[in-house]
Amino acid sequence: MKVMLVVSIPDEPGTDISAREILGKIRESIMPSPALQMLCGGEELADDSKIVCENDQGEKCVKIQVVSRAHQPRSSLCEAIEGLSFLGACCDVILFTIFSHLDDEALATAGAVCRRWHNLTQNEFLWKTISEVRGSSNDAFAKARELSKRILTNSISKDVDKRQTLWLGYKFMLESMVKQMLDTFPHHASSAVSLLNTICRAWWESTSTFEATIYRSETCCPPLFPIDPIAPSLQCPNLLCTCGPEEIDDQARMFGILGDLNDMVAADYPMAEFWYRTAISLKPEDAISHANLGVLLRQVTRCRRCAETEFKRAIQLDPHCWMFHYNLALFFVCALSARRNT
Amino acid sequence: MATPAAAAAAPAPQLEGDIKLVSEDAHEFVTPKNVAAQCKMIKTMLEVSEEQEFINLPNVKGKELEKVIEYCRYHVQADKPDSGVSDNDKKTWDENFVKVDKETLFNLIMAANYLDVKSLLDLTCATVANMLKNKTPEEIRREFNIKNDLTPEEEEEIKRESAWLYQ
Repeated sequence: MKVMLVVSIPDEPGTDISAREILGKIRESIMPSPALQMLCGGEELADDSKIVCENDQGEKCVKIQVVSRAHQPRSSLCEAIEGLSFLGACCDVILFTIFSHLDDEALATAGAVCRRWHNLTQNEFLWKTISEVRGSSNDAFAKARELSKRILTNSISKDVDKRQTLWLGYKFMLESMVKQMLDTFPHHASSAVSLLNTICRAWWESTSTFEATIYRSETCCPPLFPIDPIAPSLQCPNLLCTCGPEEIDDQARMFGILGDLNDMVAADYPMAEFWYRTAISLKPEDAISHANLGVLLRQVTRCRRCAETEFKRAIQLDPHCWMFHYNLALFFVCALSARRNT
Repeated sequence: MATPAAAAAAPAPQLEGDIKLVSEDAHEFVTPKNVAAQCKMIKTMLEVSEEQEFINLPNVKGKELEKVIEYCRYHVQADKPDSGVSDNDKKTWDENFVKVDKETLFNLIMAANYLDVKSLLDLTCATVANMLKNKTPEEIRREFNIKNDLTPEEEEEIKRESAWLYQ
């Protein structure tokens, strides 16, 4: 089992919330699991749902919310179903799944139904899917290319200096692609993530000016990812010298998200490890990336000490995040029960 | 370094025996674990904790849960390599399975999405997609109760954008 950490920006910075309240909130929405009770002093803990842990940039504010699969109150959806207006009320994921079963003509028609549907159908990947998977005509593919060209023109090749261009380029990747792919394309997430890997690697390589070593802890095990073939290209982007700390944060955040995507969505663990480490080398004090790397190493490699180091490092960096303590506790409990079994 | 922690972190799923699934309206369904595990969300729960005897599903009503279990049960049997069920038979079964009224269909979509049964979500969504085909935007709005919030100018613009379709 894995504790997922998804970072997002808090609504009200500085809001404090106790661990008990957090557990209470989680307990409200999730079934109890006896196996986990011992880990938090008899409190039951969530085990199936994503936990969003919001950490306001070192301000010791941790806010937890449980994200359920349904994105809106169920009661309103039930009414919508009874009134047969479900398609106007359901979440994007479902609409996308429906749209991906249309042919190009029907998809274009759907785009003319209402504003939300129109916005949803303006998605390159949707058109690619129906042209590739559903064997639709070349027109759909042409539409996909036209859309992608338009997005690229708008976001990258603006007439600004190089740094600005790069900045826009990766902001574009971070905001539009990551979000869009994850939220709306669960069924094609693996290929989307591998596409992201390619783009970000290319971007990373094209912007590098000086060499930097990728993060390794002292007790580090051999990396999962094939470091040698890509080692020469593991360099820091020149943005690192010219841009402010905020931008470095954003970049580290993006690489962290890439790590999450590879880990949880595409199950590409070596790639996930690569991105987590990249994130940490950009921002060594990024506690969440340390914790995520620890969870990854515990699951995939046989390097226990390394995972332990990462968990401890995360706690050291942010001692107020209960999740890190939980990770470490779970790690020890697993190790203990495994030893007992052998 | 062979670490026991890694083995413990990803236990092999114990899929023997039954599990009781409890719907929102307190209907109980005793289901073989390998059938219930077709729902990825339940599979995750079974993997996390092996001792539990029942699982509460607060977002699914009994009627839909029964249908989902029926679907999973059929596919566990039919998808076995030696089941002798042809792809055509499965297709026919699936087609009959989704011959339900719209309300049930929408509820099934919600249940498949919540329980994370990808093949059932695809099947039900494809059924809705078929309802959208060969209709004008106005017909779609009327049939599915969708409000048209586009201005006449926007509609004109959209028409221009999709001109490539009708060339």
